[in-house]
Amino acid sequence: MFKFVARRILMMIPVLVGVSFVIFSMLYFAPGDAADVILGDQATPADKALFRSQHGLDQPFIVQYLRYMEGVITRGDLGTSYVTRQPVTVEILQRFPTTLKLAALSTLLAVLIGVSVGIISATRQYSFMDNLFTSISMIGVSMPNFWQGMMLIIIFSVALRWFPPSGFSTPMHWVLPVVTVGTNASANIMRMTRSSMLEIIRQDYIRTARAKGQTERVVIWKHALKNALIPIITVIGLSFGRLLGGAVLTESIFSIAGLGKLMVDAIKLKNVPLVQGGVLFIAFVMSLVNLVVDILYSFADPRIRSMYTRPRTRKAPAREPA
Amino acid sequence: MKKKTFVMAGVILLVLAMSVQAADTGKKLSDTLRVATWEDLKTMDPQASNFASNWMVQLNIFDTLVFETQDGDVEPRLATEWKFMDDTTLEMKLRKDVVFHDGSKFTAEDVLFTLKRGKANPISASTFASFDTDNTVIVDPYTIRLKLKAPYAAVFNTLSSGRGSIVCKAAVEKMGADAFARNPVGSGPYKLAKWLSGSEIDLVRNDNFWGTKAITKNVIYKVIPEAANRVIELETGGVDGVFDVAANDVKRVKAMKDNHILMGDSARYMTLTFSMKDQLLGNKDIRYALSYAIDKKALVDSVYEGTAAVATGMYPSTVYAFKKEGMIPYDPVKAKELLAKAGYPNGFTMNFLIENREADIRLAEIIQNMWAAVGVKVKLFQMSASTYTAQGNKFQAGMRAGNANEPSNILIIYDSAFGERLEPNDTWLDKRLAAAKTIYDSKKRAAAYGEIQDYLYDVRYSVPLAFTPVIYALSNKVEGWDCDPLMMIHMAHVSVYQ
Amino acid sequence: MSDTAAVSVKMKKRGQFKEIRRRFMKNKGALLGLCFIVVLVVCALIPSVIAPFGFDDQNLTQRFKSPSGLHLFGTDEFGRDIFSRVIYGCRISLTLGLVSVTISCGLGIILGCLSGYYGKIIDNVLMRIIDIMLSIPNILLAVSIVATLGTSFFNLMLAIGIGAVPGYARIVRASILSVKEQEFIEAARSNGASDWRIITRHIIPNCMAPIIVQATISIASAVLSAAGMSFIGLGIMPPTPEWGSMLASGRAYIRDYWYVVTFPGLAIMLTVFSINLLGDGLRDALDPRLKT
Repeated sequence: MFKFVARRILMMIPVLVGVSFVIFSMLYFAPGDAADVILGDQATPADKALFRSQHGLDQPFIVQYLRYMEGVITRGDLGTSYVTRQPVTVEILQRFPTTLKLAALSTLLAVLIGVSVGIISATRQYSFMDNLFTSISMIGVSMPNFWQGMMLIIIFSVALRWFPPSGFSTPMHWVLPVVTVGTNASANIMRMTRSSMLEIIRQDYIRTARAKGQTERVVIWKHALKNALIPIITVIGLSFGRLLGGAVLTESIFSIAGLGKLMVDAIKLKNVPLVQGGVLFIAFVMSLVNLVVDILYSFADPRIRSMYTRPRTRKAPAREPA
Repeated sequence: MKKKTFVMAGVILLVLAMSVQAADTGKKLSDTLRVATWEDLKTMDPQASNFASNWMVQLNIFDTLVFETQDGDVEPRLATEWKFMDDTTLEMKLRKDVVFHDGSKFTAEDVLFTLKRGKANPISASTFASFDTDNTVIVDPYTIRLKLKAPYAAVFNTLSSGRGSIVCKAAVEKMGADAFARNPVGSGPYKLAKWLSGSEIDLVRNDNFWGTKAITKNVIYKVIPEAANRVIELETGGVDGVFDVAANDVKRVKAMKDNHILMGDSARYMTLTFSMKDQLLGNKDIRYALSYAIDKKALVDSVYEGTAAVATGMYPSTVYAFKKEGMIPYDPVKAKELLAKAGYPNGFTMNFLIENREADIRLAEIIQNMWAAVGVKVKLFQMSASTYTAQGNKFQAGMRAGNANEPSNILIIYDSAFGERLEPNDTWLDKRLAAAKTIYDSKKRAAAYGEIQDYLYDVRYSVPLAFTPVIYALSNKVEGWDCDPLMMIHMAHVSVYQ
Repeated sequence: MSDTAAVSVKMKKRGQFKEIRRRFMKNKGALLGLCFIVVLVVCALIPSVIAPFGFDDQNLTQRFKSPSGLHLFGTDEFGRDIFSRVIYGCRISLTLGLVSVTISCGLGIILGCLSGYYGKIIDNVLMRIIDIMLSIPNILLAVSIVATLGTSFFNLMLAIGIGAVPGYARIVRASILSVKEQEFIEAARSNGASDWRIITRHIIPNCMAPIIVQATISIASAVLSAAGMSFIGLGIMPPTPEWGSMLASGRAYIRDYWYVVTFPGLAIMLTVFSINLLGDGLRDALDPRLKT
């Protein structure tokens, strides 16, 4: 198990380097740089040149890239934001807890809705319930996020005054954004649950369990669901990972100071260190999530677990009885 | 008889008691004022700031040497009196009782330090271009002799602007500029209590302030980028005041029982700019044609729902030396004639650049449609400021939202040294602009700027479109909120009731 | 292949097709979705016939008119007929969906084929590239691409398309890996068939089903992504009547003039919904294991 985890962590490194290289190249070749944005158009070319030399923006491509990566690898320093002059690490860590909370709560909601609706759909395929739930969840996923968010604000904030319209500080603030993001994410999970369960239910061993006289509930929960979990866990993991990248639209509508909005604004401002640092951070966290998902696989499916663990042999006790 | 008097007295006493009661409950002050702003601050460092959203908050934390009012009067702040020794030397006497938020005393050293760092920082360097800090002399701890490179009429305007905010030299030197950007030390009526990046900024009253202490103890700025959501927060009681209200929300706020709109003239205006590097637009007839093809009244009314006025001059009427040139008429027939005369009877295609702001986009869409009616096809490009300026004026037409209250700042876009947008390379104009900056005599200066405005109206490098007002939405419980044309609200004067 | 063998394969394929179609027809939802999409395609092909006004006929005196006989969906902030704009928008959205999916599909299939077929080093390198793409959240990748290349219709489609490439690459690769070692491949190879022929004749048809299903999901998400990009300001430029940008520019008026936002929103919703129904129906029909 340990070797497996270590190897996976090792494989993350080229991916992270690749990610940073791709993003850096894109920003480098994009027209305009931080000097243009931050100084605005009231600045003279001399001012901009000074800004560029102060931040090393006039160095060639490879020098800038290597200098940045050197900082990351040797000091864990993700650079300094051109705009606020604060360490990128600080900026990211200030926003990350909010994004994490939003992602976690939304995924939780998505799992609750998605899995339960998926199971109902699968066990009563093509029935009225199946169609009804599938339709509702599909409506949820077909609506653009920001439209759904605005609708919720108008109904529940303005008209009913049940929840506050912006921010993310108190639990009351969490409800509307989490519902917006969660309902969207639930559809994929529902779909995967449904198709995975359908596949399992038709397997022979399910028929056997039923023939043996097991109640339907035991059949579904104990036998079917457990085996259907693997692809479902994959989708949940992917969903959560994607949300960590920031639900940009929801963050904009609800004025939530999250990672997604920070990143989009940084890209628009050509705030290269923040973009680099942010993307590296997000990629790292997403890879970790994937790793955790894979580890969970092994718990869910003993066949996979056996691939990664060595059989434990009992060692003879070191001390001989006197 | 006696009974009646008795009853009367009783009634009067009752009424008095009730009114005292009412006055008591109605007039109880709250200790926290919450306002909604449209974007987070990038920095608390006044000399490293470039956006109104920064200065708007900083002005409560820092002080400037002087304050220039709307009418052009210069009021003392950290400086108590001043006189010009000669054309380029300004001696200022400073207050002796000012203490910064960290306890250190304010002296002329802080003033010189501020000016020097302003010149050194590329973000504010051009603002302080006229200051000669090498020859600025500190006569004694409370007297400083500012040296200017040339006569500079806008010196007080610059000193009273956001970039002229005096910072604490000791604090900056101790913590470094980067840390100072997050932990400002000024001398103003408020101190920074908390800054949740992207989310909110909390200020707390400075009880050692040299002037009148602030009325409200806490001020919270909530960052809410969506205009509609700012008004929703006001509606649901989440904030007491809103900066930057969208024109289409004005009617709704006016209809609210507990809130009202505060709208006033501002120094904001929208203008269309032509790139003079372009061959087509170098032709005056074409510029005139394009300006005649726009129905400005319909344009401005549609986009601003009646809150803005059509531009009648080259910059807002509230700014010094404004000269009314009149509205450019709407004449599509003449436009087509001029286009044909210039050799383009069937029109041509143009690139039009807009920044990603709602009003800009709407104005551009309508103009695109109006120009299509005379045969000019427009391709719209929406991009952030950085990408735009990096294009180096590849765009023939652009939209500009100006927001400055001093002619030399506003007209800087026509200066050849400025580059980037218009680049008229008009030496006559450059000379006039440079000369006007140095005239101290008010009447002569106004005449000089009048001449420049006439010229600009005639040469039509740009087509001013609208003078937009500044719009605030406030709860009825708020008092003391000045309708400042630049959104620089001094929170120290604002009170909010419970 | 000999003639009789070819004929019997053809007959089997036809039989298979009939079976798939039968299963599909049973699914009412999928049929509904298909009908709606046909309507959309018609609107996309002949909008000028169906729409009473042009998509850019501004009339500043007729702003924000409520839905009526003349203007079925009302007018927007420039006095343009919303119904006409929604009709013209069909073409934009469908083009957007189809082109971006073609880009994803094409690139994905190429990557998947190279990876699965040639294996070893190429596989490793390409899979790392896929991992890199999967580690960058879709929206950030799209924003970066548009920021680099500029805001244009094609760049938008490219940006959205690239994000979906990993999905297709993995499907194709998995499909190839599953059949690579099978006997009929060996047989074909020993017969002298070139790599290209093997890939196109045997492997790609094998993974058509999951690709088609994935494509329908991608088209739906492409329409939503474009709407999101317009919201951020990196979408399609006015006056192009793309539903997402109609939503984005109309969101300031949502409280006073609900129709400016509702009808484009419904258009997006119904389109995405129909595509999803169609996709689910196809998946159920094409997957033999899901027979009821």
